[in-house]
Formats: sequence, C-alpha cells, structure tokens
Amino acid sequence: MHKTLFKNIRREITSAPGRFIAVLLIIILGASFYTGLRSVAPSMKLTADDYYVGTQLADFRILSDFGVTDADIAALRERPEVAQVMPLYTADVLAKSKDGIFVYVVRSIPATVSDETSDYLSRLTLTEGRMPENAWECLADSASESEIGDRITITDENEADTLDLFGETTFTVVGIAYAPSFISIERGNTTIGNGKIDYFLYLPEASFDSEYYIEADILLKTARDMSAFSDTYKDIIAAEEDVFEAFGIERAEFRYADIREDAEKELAEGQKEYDDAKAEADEKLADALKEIEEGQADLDAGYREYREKEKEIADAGLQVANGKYAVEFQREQLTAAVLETAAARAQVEAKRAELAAGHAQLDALITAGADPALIAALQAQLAAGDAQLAAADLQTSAAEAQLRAADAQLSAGEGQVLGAEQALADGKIQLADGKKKLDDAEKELVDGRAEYEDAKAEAEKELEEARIELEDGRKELEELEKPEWFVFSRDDNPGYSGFESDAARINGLSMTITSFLFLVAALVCLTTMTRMVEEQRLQIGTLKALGYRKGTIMFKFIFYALLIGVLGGVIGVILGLVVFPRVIWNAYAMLYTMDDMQLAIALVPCLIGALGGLVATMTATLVACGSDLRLAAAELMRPKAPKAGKRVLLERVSIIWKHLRFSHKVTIRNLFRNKRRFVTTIFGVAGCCALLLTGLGIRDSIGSMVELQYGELNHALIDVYLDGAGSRNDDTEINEVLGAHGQYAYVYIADASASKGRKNNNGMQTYLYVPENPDMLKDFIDLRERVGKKEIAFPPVLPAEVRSAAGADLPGVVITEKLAKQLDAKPGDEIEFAAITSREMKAIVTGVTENYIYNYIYLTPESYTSMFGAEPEYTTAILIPDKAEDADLLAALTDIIKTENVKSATSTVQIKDLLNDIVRSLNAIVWVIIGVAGGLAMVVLYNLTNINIIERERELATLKVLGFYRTEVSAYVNRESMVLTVIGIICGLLCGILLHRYVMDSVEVSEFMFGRLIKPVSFLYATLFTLFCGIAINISMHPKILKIDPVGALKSAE
Amino acid sequence: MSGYIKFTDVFKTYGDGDIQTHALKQASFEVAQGEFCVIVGPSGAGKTTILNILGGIDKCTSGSILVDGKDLSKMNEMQLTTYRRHDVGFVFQFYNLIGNLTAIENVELASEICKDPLDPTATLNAVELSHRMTNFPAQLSGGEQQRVSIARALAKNPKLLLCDEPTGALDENTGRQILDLLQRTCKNSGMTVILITHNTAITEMAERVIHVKSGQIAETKMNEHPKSVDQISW
Repeated sequence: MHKTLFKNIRREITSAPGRFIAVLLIIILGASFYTGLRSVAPSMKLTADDYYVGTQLADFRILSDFGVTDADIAALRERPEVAQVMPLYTADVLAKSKDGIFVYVVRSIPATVSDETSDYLSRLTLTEGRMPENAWECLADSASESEIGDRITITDENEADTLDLFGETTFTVVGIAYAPSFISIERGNTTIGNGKIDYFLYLPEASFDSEYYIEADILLKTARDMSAFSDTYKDIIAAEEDVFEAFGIERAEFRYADIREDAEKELAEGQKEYDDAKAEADEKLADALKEIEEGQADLDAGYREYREKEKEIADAGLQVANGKYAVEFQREQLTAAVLETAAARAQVEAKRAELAAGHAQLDALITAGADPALIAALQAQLAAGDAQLAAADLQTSAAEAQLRAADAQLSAGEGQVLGAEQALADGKIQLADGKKKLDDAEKELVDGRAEYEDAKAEAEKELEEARIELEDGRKELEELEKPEWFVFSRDDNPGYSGFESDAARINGLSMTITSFLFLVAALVCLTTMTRMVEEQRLQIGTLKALGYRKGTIMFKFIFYALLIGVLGGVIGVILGLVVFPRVIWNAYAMLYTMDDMQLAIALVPCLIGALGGLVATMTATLVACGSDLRLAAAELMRPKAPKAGKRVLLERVSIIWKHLRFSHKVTIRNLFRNKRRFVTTIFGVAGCCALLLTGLGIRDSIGSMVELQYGELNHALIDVYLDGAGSRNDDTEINEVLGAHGQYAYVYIADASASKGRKNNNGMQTYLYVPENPDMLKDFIDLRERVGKKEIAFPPVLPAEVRSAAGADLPGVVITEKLAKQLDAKPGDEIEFAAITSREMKAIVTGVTENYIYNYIYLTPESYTSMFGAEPEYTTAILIPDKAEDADLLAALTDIIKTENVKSATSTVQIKDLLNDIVRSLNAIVWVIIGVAGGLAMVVLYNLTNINIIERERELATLKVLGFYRTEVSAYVNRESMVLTVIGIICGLLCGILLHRYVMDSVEVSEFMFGRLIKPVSFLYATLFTLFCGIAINISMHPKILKIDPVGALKSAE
Repeated sequence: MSGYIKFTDVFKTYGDGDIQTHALKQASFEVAQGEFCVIVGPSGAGKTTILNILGGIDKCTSGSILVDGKDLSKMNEMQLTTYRRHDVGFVFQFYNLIGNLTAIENVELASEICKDPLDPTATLNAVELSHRMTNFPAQLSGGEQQRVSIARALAKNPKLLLCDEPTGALDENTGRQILDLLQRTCKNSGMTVILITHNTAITEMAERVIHVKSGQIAETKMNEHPKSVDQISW
C-alpha cells in the first residue's frame, strides 16, 4: 500500500488524539464490559467445578432415620454406578466455644484421609493447622472466630440421643478449614437452637460412639469429573436420585427386618420380665396379706379374751362391792350394838354406884343405928339390888363378849373385803395393759394393712406402666414404619444452588447493558467518522483528483476504524477478562468460600466482545464515507455548502424567543442542527443515567422486599412447625409458649404445583396456605392489590359473572402476584393445582395479592376438604410477636424450639439474611455499573464537546475577536453539552425505570418477586453523578477552548 | 488629529533562538481619527500582523501601540478582550458569520455585549439589508454576508473599524459595493477605518496609504483627494 497513506493515517491519529482515544475508549468499554461480565459466570462455574472435582464433593448424601449400617454401606459400594462411599456420623449440636454458644453441624472425617483413593469425599481444605488425629481434636470452620488451640465443648443442653452419639464432648481445635459441602456462608437450618446453623465442625470418626453411621456420602462413577452445571450432570443426578430412593426402600426391608427382630426380641424379653415381676409381686403381696390376716385373727382372739376378763373383773367387782357393803352394814350394826352395850354397861355401873351409895348409906345408918327394919328393909332392898345388878352385869358382860366375838368376825370379814378389793384393782390394771397391747397390735395391723395397700397399688401401678410400655412397644412394632432413606443431592447443600443462580443473574444483566453500550459505541463512532470525513472533504477531493481510487481513499478511514475496532476490541477483551470476573468474584467471596478464582476464557464471549466493537466502527465508517465518496472530485474540492441554519419550533413562540440571548438561540439551533450528535449524546448520557438508576434501583428493590413483605404485608414474623397435628389443641404447652410471645394462629402449609390451562404442564412451585380460621387470616397477612392497595376478600368471594357461569361450584382461591404473573392468571381465571401426591384440582382465582417472598395459594379449610377429601392438618403456627426486633425474634425462636412437639421454627431474620446476602453480592455489580456508566457519559460528552470545539474553532475564534470573555466563550460551547446532559438525564431517568424493570425481571428468581421500587434518593444520585460527569468534561475542556487563537478567525475556511 | 493610532518601533518576532522570523521590524506609523486608511503590501509583508496587533488579537514582541491614548502592548489578555469588545469592529475576509444565527441575530451577537451599541435593525438598514434581516448566512450571497459582517462590526459603535481584505472573497462589483459602504461609513460616522489589502488599486480611495514591505513600513502617503469607489478600477 502507499507509504504516504500510512503516514497520513498516523498523522490523523496524532493530530487529533482526543478523538481517537474517545472512540477507542468506548469500544474498550463495550468490549470489556461484555467479555468481562460474560466471563464471570463461566469463571465462577469453572472455579466451582475445579473445586468440586478436586475435593471430590459427594454427589449424594444419604441419611436414614434409623442410621446407615455397615451392610448398607457395603451394598452401596457394590452398586455399579457408585465410585466411592464415605460413611460418616453427623449431628447438629449446641456447643460452647470461647465466643459463646453456637449451633454447629458436626460431621466426621474418615480414619484415613491421606490416601488419594480412600473413601474420603467432600474433602476439606486446611487454611491453617493440621487434620485431627485424636478423638479429642477437631477442625473448625474458617468462617468462625475459632483459632487453633481453642476448645469447643458440646453442652449438656443437647438431647440425650445426640449426646449418646459422642464419645468425647470437648475438642481442641487443631486446624481451620473450609469445605465444599459448605460453600455458602449460610450453613443451613436445623431443629435446635434458634433454627439456624452457625458453623460446621469436623471431628475424627473416633470421637463418635455409635453402633451405626448416620450418613453415607456417595461419589458417582458416572458423573465423575463432570461439570456440576451441565445438563448431563443434572440429568444423571435427577435419575440417580430416584434410583437411590428406590434402593433405599430395598435396603429398608433389611433394616426393617433387623429392627423388627430386635424389637420383637426385646418385647418378648420385656413380656417375660413383666410376667416374672408380676408373679413375684403377686406372691409377695399374698404373703403380706396372709400375715396381716393372721395378725387380725390373733387380735380378734385377744380382744375376745380381754372382753371375758373384763366381764369377770366386773363381776368380781360387784361381789366385792356387795361383800364390802355387807361388812360395812355389819360394822354399822356392830357399832350400834357396841354403843348399846356401852350404854347398858353405863347403866350397870350407875346402878353399881347407886348400890354402893345405898350400902354406904346403910352402913352409915347402921352405924348411926337407924331403924333396923329400915335397915333390914334396906338391907333386903340392897340385896335385891345387888342380885339384880349382878344379873345385869353378867348379862352385859355376855353381850360384851358376844360383841367382841362379832367384832373379831367382822374384822376378818373386813380384811377379806380389802383383800378382794386389792385383787380386783390388780385385775383391772392387768386388763388395761392387755387392752393397750391389743390396741397397739390393732394399730400395727391397720398400718400393716395400709402399707400393704400402698405396696399393692404401687406394684399394680408399676406393673400397669410396664404393661402399657409393653403395649406401646407392641403397638409401635405394629406401626413400625419401614426406615426411610433421605437422598440429598448437592442442590440440598446450603448455598449450592444459589451459586449457580448468582452466576446466571450476572449473565442476564450483562446482555442488556452490553448491547446498549455497543449501540452507543456505534453512534459515537458514526458521529466521529462523519466529522472526520467532513473535515477531509478537500483532501478526499484532492486524492480523487489525483487519481486515487475510491477504495484507496476509503482505506484510510476504514483502516482508522479497523485500528480502533481491533485495538479497542483486543484491549477491551483483555481488560474485561482481567478486571470484571475478579472484581465480581471478590464480591462473591463474601458469600462463598472456595479455592481461588480460575479465569475461564470462553471463546465466544471474547469473539463477540472483540467483533462487536469492530462491527460498530466499521458500520459507522462505511455509513459516514458512503455519501461523500460518491461525489465528484470537483464538488469535493469546493467547501461543503454550510448547513443552513434552521428555525426550531420554539421560534414560533416569539415571546420566549425574543427574550432569549443570542447564545441561547445558538445553543438551541445547534442542538437540532446535528441530529446524529444530538442522538448520540442523549443516548450516552441517558444510558449513563439509566444504568446508574438501574444499578442503584436493583439494591433498592431487593432491599425493599423485606420491608414490604414483613413490614407491611406479613404481620406474622415467626413460623412454627409442629410435630404432628391433633396435638395442637390439647397441647397446652405449645399454646402457652406461643401465647407468651404474641398472637398466634394455626395454618396448614403444603407444597403444591400450580398451572393454568394446558400450556404449562410443568407447574409452578407454590404453597397451599389454609388458615384454620379463615376470618382471622387478615390479622396475620394483609391480602391486597399492589396497585391501589385494595383489600382482597378472604374467604374468597367469587365474582358474580363466574358464579353464574358453569364453574360456579369451583372453590375460589387468592393467589400471590408472582404466581399470577408466572401463570398469567388474573381474577376470574381458572387455575389448576395439585398438592404433591394428589391429582390436579381446579379453582377460580378471586384475587391476586401483593406478595414478594415465596408463592402461595390461599384457600379455606372447606375448599381444601372438598377438593382433597381430607381435613387439612394444621401443623404450622404463625405468630405475630410482641417484639419484632431481630434479637427478640431469635430469642423467641430459641424459646419456642425448646418446646416439646415443636419440630422447627423460622423467623424472618433468616430470610432477611439471605436477601441481604443477595444485595451485598449485587453491590459489586452496582459499582461496576457505576464505573461503566461514568465512563460512558464521560466518553460521549467528551466526544461531543471535542467535535463541537474542533468544528467551531473558527466560530469561537470569531467570538474571541468580537471581544467575548473566556467564560462567555466556554459557556457558548458548554451550554450545549449541559442542555444535552439535562435532556439526557431526563430521558435516562425514564429509560432507567424501564431498564430497571427489565433487569429485575431477568435477575428475578422464581420464589421471590423483587420489588420494583427505586428510592427517590437513587434518582437524585443518578442525576447528580451524571451532572457531575458533564461538568467534569466541561471543566476539562476549558483549556482547549482557551487555547483557540483568535487569529484563526482570519484564516480562510480550510 | 494625527496620532490617534500610533505604532512606534513595533517588532513582531516568531520563533526563538537562532531561527527567528521577523513579521514586523521596527514598524512605526500613525493614523488620525476618522481617517480611511489602507494598508497595502504583498502577501507575507506583515500587513495582517499589523491588523492583528491593532485589533488586540495578537501581541507585539516589542514597541508600543497607542490607540486613543491606550497602550495595547502593555495590556493583558483580559484588557485586550475588553478593548476588542468595546473599541474595535472587525470585518473578516471570510465574513465569519455564525451560521446558526440570522443576519439580525449575528448583529445582535455583537451589539449585545458592548457598552453603547447602535440599533441592530438600523445598522442593517444602513447596509441596505433590511429585507434580509431574518435570513441565515447560508441564505445570503457573499456580498450580503459581508455587509452583515460590516453591520455586526458597526453595531458595536467602535472607535476603530478593522477590515481584513473585505473584498478578497468577492467579485469586483460586490467588492465595490462593500468598499463604497465602508467609505461612506467612514465619512458619515467619523469612524476610523483601517483596511488591509494587497490590491493597490484600492489605495486610491484612502486618505492615508501605508505600504508595507518585508515587515517594514516602506512608505506612508496621504491622498489629498481620495477617489470614490466608482472612480477606480482593478
């Protein structure tokens, strides 16, 4: 080719480097953005695949509710498609580390880990320390705060069954690791603690003490080294999942038989034990009873004897009393007789004294010699008296003797009576003693009887309990379900599927934005090349006149474009590959832990990225050259007739127009004079602004979901899953616990798939939601239309026109907005849905309710019963907590999960965490978008301003000659770009709203309806940033305007 | 009134060190107020340099330029701009109209920024373009464009009207009209008009003729009886 032409091209670049760079930059921007973002997903996948293959991530994890036996493991190993099987122990435990008590998922590491071929799957990567070698050593989660040397202790709060599993309970951290089973910072959910696993903990097998394993991890031969994201892998896994589940049922037979046998043996033993115990107890009780009865007989005999003796004594008492009475009577008589005798004695004595006196008197008379007759008479008289006295004396003495005899006799009688009395008293004491003894014996007997009754009751109770236990055991055996295998694929690993959707999300985003960037690139190119061709009109004409052929002349421009296209493409692709995957990977590194990123250089995105720029520049050049090159040389030699100034619409409004300054008029006319430039700039600026708004809006929208869902729509922030239905109303404990934390209600939630008409057979994943008390649902969840916020009736009310139509007997349901969108269903439409095991049921949509998180079909218990023929089981409690702070929710969860019959409980905190992670991962993309948007705006505005200045150099020089000050001259140019910037911003904000919607649609995942909200502050930021770009360009161009020499005004045009 | 404009020992040197080009070498001349002065000389003689310096869009290397008592050589960029704004009217060889403004707007462009402007409409009337007032430059002929350009310069009511080969891009007849307009303006308004040209024929209509040759003032000649435009031919 002609040397001079190359020189010409070189000069073209060096003389106006700004233009060259501007176009180059926009091509680089487009190419790098496209290639870069397109490479993110492949790179993420490549990295993940390498990591999965390198660590031999298990394809399946099999857990059984009755454990996995050695026989199961052996059977699995024998299967042809299975490459390796790793049996392991696992449990979710509460354990204490130096930072507090956390919920850990504990897994065992096989005994041999060093051997490459050993059955060691989902291998850990040590970041520090070594593998545990002893039963008391462990590996800690790299996401935890644990350090080597820390001690982690499994607390006593854990259930006994769990604690039984461990041989050791305190472990020393000897290494820190990350694991392919836990790529996400989410460690999964559990049924202990607050329902969320905090960290993993790996222990050697030796730390466990259990007869059988809990889990078997499987690596497939058939899927070995295969990309986990490939359809082939997914197909294999989907097929194998069924196979293993079927195999599980087969294996379950064996396990079932074993368990049954064991249980039967145990039951038989139990029965025997029971029987023995019962016999023994019966015998012992009978003995005791016999003893008691004998005692009773003895006692009765005793009492009889006692009563006889008592009678005897009573009789004797009576006799004694009679005797005593008689003796006393005799004594009285005797005493009277004694007194009588004493009186007689006294008479005798008196008489004696009288006689003695008579004798004395006689003697005296005798002496005195008184009449002897008289004396004789007296003597006779005295003799008679003496005789009489002697007789009386005798008589009295006889009586006295008689009395003395009687007294003696009586005294003997009295003595006898006294003796009898004494004897009686003794007898009475004896009797009392006997009575006391008898009473004691009786009391003893009563006690003994009570004791016996107690013992009997107790024995009976114990026996009854044993019997019930046996009965239960028997019933349990009767009801013994076959052990079930739970087959988990990698998708069930926490965060595993999120990784893929995160990667896909970026792909969706990159397409939209890149196409746009290339479009702007093409436009920028077009304006630039057009300007260039215009500038060189004379030269083209001259070359033509000199005899150069069209192709040769064009070659210069084509080469220029080619150079930019190739250079920009190559630089862009390289830059894109180097920058974007790394930046985004680093952002995701907050969420996922894996080996270092591996850059996947996929040919197609690179080619498209590179060629996209080339196509844009080439097309633009051909379009720009096309018209001018057709002209004759002579015509080209003449300066192009200046483009006529054109009136714009505004001029018709002369009131406004007249008051405008000339410089404003120029600006307005200029804006409309060059439509390409106008469009390019508007596109660029609007694109910048729209991208910014989209980027900021993505965060707003996802962030706002939680706020809308749990701040406005759902008042129930805690879901509690119960172990079984039926218990709920009787289970006062649950009701009390729930009541203590807030207002609650019971609902039935079941997996279901919904479809509409024949067109989507796959069915959309959703949940059936049946409130026990339909009228109360509105207390817990607001059912309302998003637009207009109109409340939706529940229980559903069929629209009148549907009621009258054929499907009048179909039940009405309210469905959530995302589901409605997926099904393309609106109120009045008929949809079908099926619970997991049922056939399809038809219902009429009566309302579409605003909802962001998960999809629901709300229906009444009556509808459910009529459709599925069974009462719904209200196994879920929804709770409006009294206190709704995150910490309060978690505290409430911890409290609720502890309750018996509560299977698990979740709160909105978990969902919030999940969404916050998504938002965080998008932050990096937002930054990338902001960077690209800024670059876009800068390049486009620079290009425009640059062309404007070059093109108007003469005009500006003239203005300078006319005496315009610098600022006035700058303003003359800048006003145009500022007006375009403002118009661009307005368009951009409008486009941004649309782009945001589109992007949200493409990044949305099926279980969420992302909000469509963009916060006002985001509008402000987008506007300010775009303005900033405009102003920055204006400022940077100021020196260039200053440099224009007014002398240039005198030169001829070209 | 001699000395209204006074060039004294003005040097204009391009380049530095060994290779120096003198565009003006010790140029000295005077022009009186209200004079119609023509600076004539061959291409590259330095007449444009004189005009540039006089118009305040270029600076001399040494010497002094007095215009109405003000020394341009001592002015800074800002002061020169102000000088241009208020004291100088420029008529360009290629008219330099703003393509996107109508004739009247182009005039307003200048009148809007200076202290004591003439009425733009009146000015355009004066150059006999009242009927083309709202036309865009592209819709005007060369002569008409040059008349707009003159009107734009006049509207500023400047002390000095500088014309750079105003007929250079025009045919003879149109050129005559333009020169006639300039001569009349000079006479009627008393404005000092300085016109540069390489066309010696035009010198005959000037009151003062300054010949420039190789950057030096070769000769300054006063015409006692300047001819009117229709009396001269080229």
